[in-house]
Amino acid sequence: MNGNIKKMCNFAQNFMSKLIGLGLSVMILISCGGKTSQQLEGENSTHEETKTISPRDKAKIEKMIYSIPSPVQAALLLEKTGARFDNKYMNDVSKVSSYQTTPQIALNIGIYGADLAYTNVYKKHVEGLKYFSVIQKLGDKIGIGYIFTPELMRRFEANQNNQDSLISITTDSFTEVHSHLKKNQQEELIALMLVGGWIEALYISCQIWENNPNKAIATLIAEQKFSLNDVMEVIRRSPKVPELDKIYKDLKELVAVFNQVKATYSYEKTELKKDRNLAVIENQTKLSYSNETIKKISKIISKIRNSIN
Amino acid sequence: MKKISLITIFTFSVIIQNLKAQCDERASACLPKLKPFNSNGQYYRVQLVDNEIGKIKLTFNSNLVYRIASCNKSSDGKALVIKIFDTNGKQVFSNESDTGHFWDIQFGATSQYVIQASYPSGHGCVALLIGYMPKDKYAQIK
Repeated sequence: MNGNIKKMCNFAQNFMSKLIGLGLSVMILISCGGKTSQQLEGENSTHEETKTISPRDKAKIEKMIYSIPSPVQAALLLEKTGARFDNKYMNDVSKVSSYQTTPQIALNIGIYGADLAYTNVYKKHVEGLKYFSVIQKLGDKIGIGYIFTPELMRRFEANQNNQDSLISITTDSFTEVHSHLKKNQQEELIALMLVGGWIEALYISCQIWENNPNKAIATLIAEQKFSLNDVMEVIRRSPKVPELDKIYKDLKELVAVFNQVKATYSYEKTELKKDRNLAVIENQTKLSYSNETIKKISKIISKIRNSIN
Repeated sequence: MKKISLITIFTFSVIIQNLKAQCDERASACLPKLKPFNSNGQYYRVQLVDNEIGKIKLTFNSNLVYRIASCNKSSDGKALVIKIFDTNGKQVFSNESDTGHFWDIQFGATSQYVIQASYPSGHGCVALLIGYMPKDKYAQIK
């Protein structure tokens, strides 16, 4: 008798756990905006022996997240090209009071964030402090000002000659902002900030190239072909707000021009350097583009950037 | 019946809230793990239940070295398995044989990749941070 009751209890437990598992899968998938399958973009390849996505992995439910390169990364790469700093390309801090709506604020925190990153990388401390301050001011209006504390500001001032520390303070703060907004399910604000930062970083690169059209900067701009796809996906998957809809439409024009940048990709092998825990992925991407295309990109991104700041 | 449905829905919501809270708590703890790399400013988190995998599509730049930091383990204590696939779906990296360590990753050329994160068994929160540093700086610290 006891055995039967135990069996029934086990059956009930198994059934409930499966039911809860199924329910959880469905509900979490809905709450996370998950997608059950995702087509990857294909490009030409000359692969040697490598594994492909296994049938076991394919059978799993995928939750795809799109990522946009950070403005700090963009500024670091810009500095590596030998480009000089010029503060005239940054968004004017005096405009801060004109951003009133939440989407405008989020978008311009992204823009000012890219400007701050630009000052960090070039160790322009005086300008950096101004940008830090306006970001804090805008952050207060949408509930993230607490991240940019006076203590953080003091650390920022104390490390004015230390590029690593300045960058670390900025990137850690923006990671906290991202974490806060994610926790509060404000995905549209995340999208606005990321997109604002990406547009500003590309705008600055283009402006510098206009004044000094060198190959390294042009390549940096052309490589944004890859990121633009992710920017479009981030917007497409974000909750709808008119500001993002408008940017999405405007960016379609940019997508058309970036399609003129041709990319061919090939993968050779991956070397694991175990003593350093370093994986070196040996691949090649060849980009071909004309200066005319870069000029068009520059023109369109200027138009978009000046319509949102 | 109605009562059971309500209790079930309530239970689901409580469990989901708990899972989400767990996921949120763990993210900021990842930052120190990333050092001396700089975070790319994004916090990738996804709650995985059985038979689910998380994927992040992003562009890796050839002038930088990247580090992927995970602070989570599955519900049954298993470490996260990270795989990287190129845009043709070819696997170019996996930590499957050695999940105990972090891996730094560098690329010969700038291109798009997909990072795949999953647990070998069980479920749990996947919270990842991705950090980067210029190649020349990386050569100095190693």
